Amino acid sequence: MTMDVAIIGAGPAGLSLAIGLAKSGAKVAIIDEQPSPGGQVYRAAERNADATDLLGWLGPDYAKGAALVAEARQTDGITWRMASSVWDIRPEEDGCELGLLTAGKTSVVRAAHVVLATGAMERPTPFPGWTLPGVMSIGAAQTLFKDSGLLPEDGVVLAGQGPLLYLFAAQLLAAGIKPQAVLDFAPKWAAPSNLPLLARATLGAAPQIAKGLRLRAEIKRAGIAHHYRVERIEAHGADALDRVTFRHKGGERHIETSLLLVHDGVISNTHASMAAGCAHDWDGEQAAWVPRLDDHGRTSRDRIWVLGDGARILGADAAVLQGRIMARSIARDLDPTTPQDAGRDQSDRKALQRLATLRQFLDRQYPPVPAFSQPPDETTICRCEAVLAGDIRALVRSGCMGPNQLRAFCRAGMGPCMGRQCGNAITRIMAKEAGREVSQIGHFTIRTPLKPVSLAELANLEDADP
Amino acid sequence: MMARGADVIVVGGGLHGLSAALHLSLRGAKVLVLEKDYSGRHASGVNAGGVRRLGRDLAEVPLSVEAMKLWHGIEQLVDDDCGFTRCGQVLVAETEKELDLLRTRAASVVALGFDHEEVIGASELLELVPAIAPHCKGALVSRDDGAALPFKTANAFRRKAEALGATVLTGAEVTNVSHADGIWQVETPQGRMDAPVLVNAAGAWGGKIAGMTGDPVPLEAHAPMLMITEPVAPFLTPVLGAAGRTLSFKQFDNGTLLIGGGFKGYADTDINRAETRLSGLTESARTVQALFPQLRDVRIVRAWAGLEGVLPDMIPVLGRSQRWETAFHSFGYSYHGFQLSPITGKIIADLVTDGQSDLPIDPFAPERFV
Ligand SMILES: Cc1cc2nc3c(=O)[nH]c(=O)nc-3n(C[C@H](O)[C@H](O)[C@H](O)COP(=O)(O)OP(=O)(O)OC[C@H]3O[C@@H](n4cnc5c(N)ncnc54)[C@H](O)[C@@H]3O)c2cc1C
Ligand SMILES: Cc1cc2nc3c(=O)[nH]c(=O)nc-3n(C[C@H](O)[C@H](O)[C@H](O)COP(=O)(O)OP(=O)(O)OC[C@H]3O[C@@H](n4cnc5c(N)ncnc54)[C@H](O)[C@@H]3O)c2cc1C
Repeated sequence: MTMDVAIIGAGPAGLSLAIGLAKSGAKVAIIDEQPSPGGQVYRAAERNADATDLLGWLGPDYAKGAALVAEARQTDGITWRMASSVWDIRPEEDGCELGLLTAGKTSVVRAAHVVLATGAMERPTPFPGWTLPGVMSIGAAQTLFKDSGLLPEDGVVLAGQGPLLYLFAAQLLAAGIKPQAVLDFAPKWAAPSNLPLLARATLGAAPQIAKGLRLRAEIKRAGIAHHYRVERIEAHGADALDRVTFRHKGGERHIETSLLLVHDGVISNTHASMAAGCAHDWDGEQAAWVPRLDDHGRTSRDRIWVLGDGARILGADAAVLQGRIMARSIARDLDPTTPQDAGRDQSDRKALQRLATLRQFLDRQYPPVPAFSQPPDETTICRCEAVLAGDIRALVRSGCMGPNQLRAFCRAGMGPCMGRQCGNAITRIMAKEAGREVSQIGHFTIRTPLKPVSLAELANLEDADP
Repeated sequence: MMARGADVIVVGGGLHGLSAALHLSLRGAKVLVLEKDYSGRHASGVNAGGVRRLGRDLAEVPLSVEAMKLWHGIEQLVDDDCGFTRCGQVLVAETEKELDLLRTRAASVVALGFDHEEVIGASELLELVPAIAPHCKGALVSRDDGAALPFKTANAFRRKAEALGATVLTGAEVTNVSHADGIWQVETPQGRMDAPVLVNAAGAWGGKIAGMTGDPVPLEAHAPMLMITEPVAPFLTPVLGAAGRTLSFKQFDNGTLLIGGGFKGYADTDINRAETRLSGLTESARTVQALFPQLRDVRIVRAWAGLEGVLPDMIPVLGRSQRWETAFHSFGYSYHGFQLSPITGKIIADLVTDGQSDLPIDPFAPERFV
């Protein structure tokens, strides 16, 4: 056995865990397919550490990432495997075997415990016209921004719902880009029924609530048309986007644009935990599958753990806290004589609880866009195999009861993305059409490889322990 | 609760159980199929779809030849083409020594009175498979063999059996069978089911059921693996194997490549789980690279394993129980049962209704292991 612990994902969750574990003396490896640590939120934090402009545009929370990354880099005893994607997770009797792909070469890492800190992904946003060139997700646009400083042009339209919608609009404004409009599916203010929760969230997480309000104020101050309670959008254009139509306050409206960026919140990226064969449950509040975990983050499979947004969306600050808590749990699993630090554990868990309350408010205030959950029949759902919402509904009516059977019937989820992109949408469409609970419909069985590997890469697999 | 009844209870709704149900229904029997998951959930729905007489154990050849006749008219049997194509099967020799072995093999098939296998040289191989690596010396071919789509096939057999009056109960795991007063009593979570005749077609779980009918056999569960690639431009028509390696390789109409070949993953029948194993996937990738070096950058998008019942002599258990006149077995097809499935149901129906089969099934008797 080579490693005590292998962590997949060097975002705030994985980094914080790696620091804690290395300090306790464990032999830990941290693996991420990105070239440098930071995860989604602190993507390219090291490289951008001196890019004053970019740092200013991305805001103070992003700058915080550089400190976390630096702390991890300075901690002794962490083996770094960046620019390496994990494409296979194989539970074995005495631990776990990971298949890595690094610059065209495959290798194996073995560890007694494997932690999945694989973070979040954007919820799919199928609507008529969403596959046209010129329509993109806000997450993808933000990634280009963080990675390469690439910015959209004036006139871009933002649509969808959720905190990232506001954050990205504000980041664009800071960089001097003026979006044409924000088509917001959420209401402007919290519903009265949600106010008690808002009050509790504010008590525990005032800075975060204030940040949200500040972002919206910035959009308003810049004079951007911010439409709340949008009901529907469609993208139009012959070969590429030229026009967006939307329904607002009972009327049909349109905007000319060549770039539409869409976002419908983030969901746990459960690809790795599903491929590892861990049990999952449907989380109604987050409208997503989440791994079934105990209080410490243990999955249903021995020696496999999950934390951070991959466990349930709680945000970057919560991910750091979870990393500290889990470091203590795993240290005690590795060596039961490790002294317990009940005091710290309790205060970390309390802080985590405050963030959970904030998240509960956000989940209720920003539920998934109904128009994206149940798009019209002619909407493409599986982009890899060009399967329409109507195809899926017809198969459900003819008796197809779950995503895996659907896959055999119409190849939905069989393309290169293996259902990563469409899985959440397909499950919800099937459940609605069948009139059943999503939990009864189930999810795609996820198979290896987690990322496509070429024949040559696979053929060259070396049994290389780091 | 009154036990539900039938003339024949079939345990297992994979292809062999469904084929038995179909052929028995054709003869007017009332058949009840009990399937713990759903039809095609296991080997029958996830296999490589190879419809191959080529290279079979000589004991299986007569059955395989009869099965092939049914495949060539599969639509008449099940009202569905099952995605069957007569694309041919080719077993490549990479050395002169391998080619000699293939010649001997072809001769032994001819000696049995069959002529579907023939040896071809390097130039004819290049005509059949222009993309093959140039070091290949020749091949054993069976031109009228082919391939079909497993899940489509399993569905077609189920639908046809049902259309003929059979009942397929899913989510009905048989937990125990016992015999009393000439009746088989079959326990399931959905209640007890009764019938005078029992057919065990429980695939990788067949050994358990055989244990209950007093026919212990050394069945093992294996997890053969398959991989599928992204689509590439069409270059391969027949299904390809290699004499000196374990390989089964074919290209679908949509351009994707299916790579298999008997490498084993992890199998656990108790929790319905079949998992891939890195070393085996690597071996398969190496084999394909050796035969088709130009494919090195093609990406694999999916790999999986299925649960298969395997017997030590690599041929199935097919025949009457050694203990009971009214119990029959059809399981343990040892990596190659897909092709045989149309005929095994007919054999079971013959045994149940006439007490015997015209085909030579003695090598498959359960008592061979005592
Ligand atoms: C597109 C997008 C943009 C976001 N932007 C923001 C933002 O600006 N501000 C904010 O507060 N929150 C943002 N979020 C939410 C944010 O992701 C989280 O709150 C936070 O990053 C979660 O931290 P984490 O450590 O759990 O996961 P992450 O930070 O997401 O880290 C997960 C890491 O795992 C790696 N990984 C995943 N699978 C594999 C694999 N198979 N092999 C190797 N590596 C793998 C990924 O490359 C990634 O670096 C964003 C989410 C998304 C999806
Ligand atoms: C990856 C792979 C590739 C293959 N490739 C080929 C190929 O190319 N060509 C070829 O000819 N063959 C191939 N095979 C072999 C072929 O698929 C099998 O031999 C054949 O499908 C076996 O069918 P079956 O009906 O016996 O088993 P199964 O399909 O496994 O059906 C048995 C059924 O019995 C059910 N069952 C078990 N126990 C109980 C119980 N107690 N109560 C109720 N139900 C029960 C199971 O749930 C199962 O559905 C391959 C197999 C695999 C796994």
